[in-house]
Amino acid sequence: MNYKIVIYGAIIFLAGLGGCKKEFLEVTPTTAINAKEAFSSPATIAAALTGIYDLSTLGAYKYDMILNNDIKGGDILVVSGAGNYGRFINGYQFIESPTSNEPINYWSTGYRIIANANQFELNIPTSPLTAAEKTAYLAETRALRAEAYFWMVQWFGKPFTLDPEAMGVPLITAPVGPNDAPSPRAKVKEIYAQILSDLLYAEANIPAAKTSVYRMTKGAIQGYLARVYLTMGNFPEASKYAKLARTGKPLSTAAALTTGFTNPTSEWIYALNSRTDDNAGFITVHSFYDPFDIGYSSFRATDDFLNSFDNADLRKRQFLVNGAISRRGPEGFLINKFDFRTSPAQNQVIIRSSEMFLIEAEAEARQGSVNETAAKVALLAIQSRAGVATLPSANTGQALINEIMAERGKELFGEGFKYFDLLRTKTPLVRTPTAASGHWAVFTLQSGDNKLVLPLPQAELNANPILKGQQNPGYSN
Amino acid sequence: MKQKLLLLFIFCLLFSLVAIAQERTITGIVTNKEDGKPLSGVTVKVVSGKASAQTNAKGAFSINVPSLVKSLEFSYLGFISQINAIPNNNIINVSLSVGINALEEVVVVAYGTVRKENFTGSASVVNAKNFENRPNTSLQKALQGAAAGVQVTSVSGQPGAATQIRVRGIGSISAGSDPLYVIDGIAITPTGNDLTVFAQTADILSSLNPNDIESLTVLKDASAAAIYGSRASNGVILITTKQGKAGATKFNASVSGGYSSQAVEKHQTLGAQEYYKTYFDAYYAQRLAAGLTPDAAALAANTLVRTRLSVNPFNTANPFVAGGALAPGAALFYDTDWRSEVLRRGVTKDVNVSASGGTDKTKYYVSGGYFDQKGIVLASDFKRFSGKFNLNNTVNDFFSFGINNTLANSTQNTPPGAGGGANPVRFGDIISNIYTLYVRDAAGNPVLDAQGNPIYSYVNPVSPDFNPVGLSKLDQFITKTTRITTSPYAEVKFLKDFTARSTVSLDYSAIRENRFYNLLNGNGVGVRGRGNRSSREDITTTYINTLTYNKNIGKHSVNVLLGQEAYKNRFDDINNSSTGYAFPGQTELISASIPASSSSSFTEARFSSYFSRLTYDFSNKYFFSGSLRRDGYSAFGPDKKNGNFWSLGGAWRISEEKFLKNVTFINELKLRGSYGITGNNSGIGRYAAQGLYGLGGAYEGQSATNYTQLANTDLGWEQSTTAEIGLDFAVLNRRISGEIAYFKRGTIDLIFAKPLSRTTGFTSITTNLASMDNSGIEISLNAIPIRTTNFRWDIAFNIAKIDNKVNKLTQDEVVSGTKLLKVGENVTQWYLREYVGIDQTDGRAMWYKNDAAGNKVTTKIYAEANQYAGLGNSMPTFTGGFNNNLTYKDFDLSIFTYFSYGGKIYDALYQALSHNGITPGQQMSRDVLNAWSPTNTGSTTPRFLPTSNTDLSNSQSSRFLFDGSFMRVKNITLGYTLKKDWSAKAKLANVRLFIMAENPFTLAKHKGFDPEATIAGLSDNDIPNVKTFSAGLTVGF
Repeated sequence: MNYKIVIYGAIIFLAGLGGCKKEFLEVTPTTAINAKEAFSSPATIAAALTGIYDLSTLGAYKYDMILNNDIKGGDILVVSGAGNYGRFINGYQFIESPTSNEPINYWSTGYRIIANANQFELNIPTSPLTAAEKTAYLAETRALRAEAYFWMVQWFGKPFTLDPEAMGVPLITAPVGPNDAPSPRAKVKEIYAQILSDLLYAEANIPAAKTSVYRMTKGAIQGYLARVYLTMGNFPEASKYAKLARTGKPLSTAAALTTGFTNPTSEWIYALNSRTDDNAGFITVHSFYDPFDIGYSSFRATDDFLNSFDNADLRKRQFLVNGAISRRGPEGFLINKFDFRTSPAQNQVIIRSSEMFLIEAEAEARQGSVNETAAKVALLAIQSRAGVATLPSANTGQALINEIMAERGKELFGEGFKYFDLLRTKTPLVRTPTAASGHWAVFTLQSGDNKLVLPLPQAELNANPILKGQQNPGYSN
Repeated sequence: MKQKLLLLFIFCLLFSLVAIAQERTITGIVTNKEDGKPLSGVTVKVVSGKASAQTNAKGAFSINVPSLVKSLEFSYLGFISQINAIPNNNIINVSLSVGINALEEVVVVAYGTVRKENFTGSASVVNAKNFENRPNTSLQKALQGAAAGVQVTSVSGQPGAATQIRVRGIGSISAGSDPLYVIDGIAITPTGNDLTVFAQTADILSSLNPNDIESLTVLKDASAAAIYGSRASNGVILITTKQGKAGATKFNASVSGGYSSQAVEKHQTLGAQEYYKTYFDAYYAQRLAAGLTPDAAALAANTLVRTRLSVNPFNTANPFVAGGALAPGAALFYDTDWRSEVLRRGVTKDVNVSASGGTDKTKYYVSGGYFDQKGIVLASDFKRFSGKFNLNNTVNDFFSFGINNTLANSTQNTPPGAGGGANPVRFGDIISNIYTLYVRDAAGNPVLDAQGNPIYSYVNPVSPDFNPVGLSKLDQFITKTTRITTSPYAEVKFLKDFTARSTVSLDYSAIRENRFYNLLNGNGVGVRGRGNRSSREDITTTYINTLTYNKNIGKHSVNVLLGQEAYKNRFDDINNSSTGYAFPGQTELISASIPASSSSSFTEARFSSYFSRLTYDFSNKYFFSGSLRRDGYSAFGPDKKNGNFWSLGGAWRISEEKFLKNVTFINELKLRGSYGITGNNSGIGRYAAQGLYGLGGAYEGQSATNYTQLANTDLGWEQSTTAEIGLDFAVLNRRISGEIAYFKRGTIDLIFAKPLSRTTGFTSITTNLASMDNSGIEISLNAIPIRTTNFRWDIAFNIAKIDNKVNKLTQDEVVSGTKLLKVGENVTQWYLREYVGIDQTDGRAMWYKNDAAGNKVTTKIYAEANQYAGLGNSMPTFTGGFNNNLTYKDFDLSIFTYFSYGGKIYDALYQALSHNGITPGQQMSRDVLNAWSPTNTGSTTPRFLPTSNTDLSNSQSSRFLFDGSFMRVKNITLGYTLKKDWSAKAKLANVRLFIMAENPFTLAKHKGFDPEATIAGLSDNDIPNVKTFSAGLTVGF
């Protein structure tokens, strides 16, 4: 009898003891793959590349940078009591601090894109791909890396045209591990050199078969080259690439400019894709400009800006809300350029041919009177479509340049250009102190003002002591 | 090797049996001193001997004892044990008195029970009395103030909300600091207590009916907790549910109900007229200064206010005249007190029925409960149905089995929280009274819809298109939880002293959530309504096998435990959402047109453990215990998967020594000490050691991955070394008892999200690099100042002072949100911009900054202001409880008080209410009425500026940091028990009526804000804590 009990007890006990094998403690995630497998097959590599594009759709990154650019530019304002958790209120007033959202969002996502692109630099050479495929991947990821640096150096560094020797951002071109020493800031000109190097490699090596408007194509890379050269003041190259970029992307009809900027028209060269099942919700350009109070609906055109449009200007229809130009509240006019209502799939244009015509016009005009004819031809393409001119401009010299810049403002407002245009042209930022401007915060910032550069984010300074001593002037570290 | 030695030792003891002398039989009856009723299940034991017996249902016992034995010891859980001499007639009738926190109780410990006097560790026990019939959804709230060194904070008044518990300070930085919960021997899911995805706050422990709980034991030191190894560092809370007792079936029914309201009044704010006038006055002064005549200035100011605030609540376009007086005939159409619109009277109903009883062989406890609480905020409620069935059966001398079962189904409605526009609490706090609840016509009357109901207005500039009163009828935030726990066990006793026990447990929770944003207003408008459905399943299976050896030989008594445990948790998650609803009224996804997202995933965590414990006592005087556990955990790196944890403890009952035997006023004096190593693994990702490319992204319709986590193959356990020394005592006929303990917990290899330069592409990496100390003193005192036949007064007081210090970091200092981690400083040290005050020349806020030379100078530009430490800690200096129990004849009264002293809290509400013109339409504190102005210099409130206000005076800074000290009367209960003969007439065993007040009073140093912030000192527009007044009836028959 007794021994049976002993055996029973022993079985209970030993059953448990024997039950555990070493593999019991091995678990595999389902929401991620092991990093070692990310470059193990063509399919995983393709997904990793798509992932870089996906990062740029984060609401607090590209959309935010586009919105912030116009809100700081002066033609657009954010309603003072807009709610929306105070979004863009600080940016509009130039009172960001190192702990504000924008600096850390731009910085973090920018470097995440760069770090993911740098993984390709490390892993592509040994990946199971053909030589041609490897080159194609590197072309695309370097273009994406250049795009990220281009945005960042403009936010966190002084304009190249103002001081190419000034501090830019840390230059990271290979994977950095958690135990590697953090990098200091590179010079603005060094960042631009890297951007050009990446873009030129990409332009030379991106396969012609890549045609999706939502990804880096030869045209998109040429568009960025045109933009980068213009920003650096290299006008011949800017004009050259502007022409190349718009090849095969003819200007759309004027009517297409009032269809809401949600779907690509004939002139879209590069855009951010958005889908009904994959979109940034309310943190999009369309949401903030929406005039129907369905989106965040807090952006308005200043009185001065609206009044700068000729009544014949077909683009003035971009302000019609239910058939009329109207206000809601005392500050500015409603804008109906971006359609938020019809579908959550609001694709965001990044580069289109009209910008290329305007780059060409500006770049030619800035090269002196010899090139003014070419400038006027390019300008006329935009003006004639808008219905404001049928003949080339009669202006010359600075007047012509001013005309081109004004045209640029009217054509591209809301698409993220105005502020960077002021910076690169070293134009003072003037918020006219009159009731007519519609602005509720009035001031003037001269080129070179500390406030025209964003602070390095506090979280970065805290983790990277080298940068603590390299904070932009006018901000705490 | 160690274990083999132990076994050898045990076997040696086994064969040295003691001869048994001549015996005699003692009989008697044990009764309860309070009511004279017989007590069944009382242990009757020979003092320092082996023989023992239990009383039956009639309280009778019979025991054979050696003739040499002169006295017997009577002990029973919850009663004061006593030793009685055996009279010559061999009959002893004994009556036991109820003991509160008496030293001699049996303490539920890891994998078993132990008599408190034999216990070498530190544990606090909280008995059923503390949480029965309290209007709380989960039991943790009852712990507040009831146990020394246990800090309990409940931030939210949402029924079913989570509660934060910290045992002896903050044990971790990045890993969890929550204790391990063990229900009837089974550790429950470590994924945190909130398994929801949408609900603002929820607690899986709310699926447990507090009325089914017999006791809670908080294991605090290594000696008590180390046997839980890697999960023990933050303390262990053992929850013991009720079991049946031999005897006639006892039925118990209780019903109670109560009303709740906000526990603490919030900051006073402005009425519609005051608000409007504040803006008017500022504009009027500006226009006057610009050279306008008073009348023209008033006219201009009226227009400016109207456009600035986008509404005019008055019956006239120009409500104010020059000088600021109200225009003749001007009156408000409405004055919306949004706080009272979003709040309502909370209602609690609680019904419980239980039956328990059994025979010597089979015992059972069966209960059913219904709990229904309507929160104090619109659309906030909690309903729970629960059932419990515990059964155990002793088949014969050597075999017994049993099962513990709990079933619960709860439904919780949780309005959105935090900073979102839809959060009713935030909305109520920050929207000015000048915005109307209903759409109004030109005459100021509400506009009615076709059914004759007023139409809600969604107009305000702060949270446009939101109105929580309207939304509460349109949006949905429902969480349904079903939880089943079942744990059958079998036990075999063999070779006299051995017991083998095997337990299998399944803990199953299904959490289904439904979030719906309607298509007309609020969050869902942009996409014509958005529905989210989530279904989560959390399944824990645990296997525990233990073998115990228990032997008393003469003055030696030995208990050895060997055990093995395997644990597997799988958390399965399915999420779907759709948009594009055609018409209002439908919320299910089938009525939506666009499938917006769909995903599923699961995570797993596994433990594999072996453990052992030895306890030994000599002569009931000297006690020793040792434990050892080896834990393997699946989340850690390949080489760090396993960890070893152990403890040693000893106790000396000085009162048993000869030199104190004659000191009659000392009843008990015990010195104890322990030392050991425990671990912590909670709160980190289940795949935290692996380098990961995250799935779930998509772009252009294609699946995307991102590098989301850096690998750290060395990631392993946090290790805490805990040392404790304590003194337990009872004096003056046990009228005063208590314990004093000093402890020090040094934690190394703290799991720590080391912040990385973002240039790596990552925010942080999970590492084991920091170390930290928590040390402190805990004092518990119990006294019985009055003990007469009719009147008894018990006092329990506890207090703990805990210091925390960071010892090592990856770098000198690490900024962690609003805190600065710095070697030598408290882990909760605030790190904020330091507010100086206002500049009396212009009324602007000033902060400190470092100038080029490194000197601290003032600045009015927020962007230049530096963050500073030295502003205090969020952790309180000491916390404790002060509890009184009084009984007079048939009346009983208890008063529980919790206090927390020191510690700075951040008042985000006052911050929001101090915008002083920065955010038009946002409510303001009454302090703005005294804001600085050129005519009101000397004020400490920054200037009010209605336009172009770039002062940022209410940006985050030490301006909003306040002393968080408070004292809260947690509970007052007054009960009346019907006289025995009265209830007997109704054939009832007992009848008790009670009235109760939960959280009736709060005394706080800083007013206007519930001081019960999170342990980090922060709050996030949470539903306020509630005070509840309730009444109830319990009937036993």
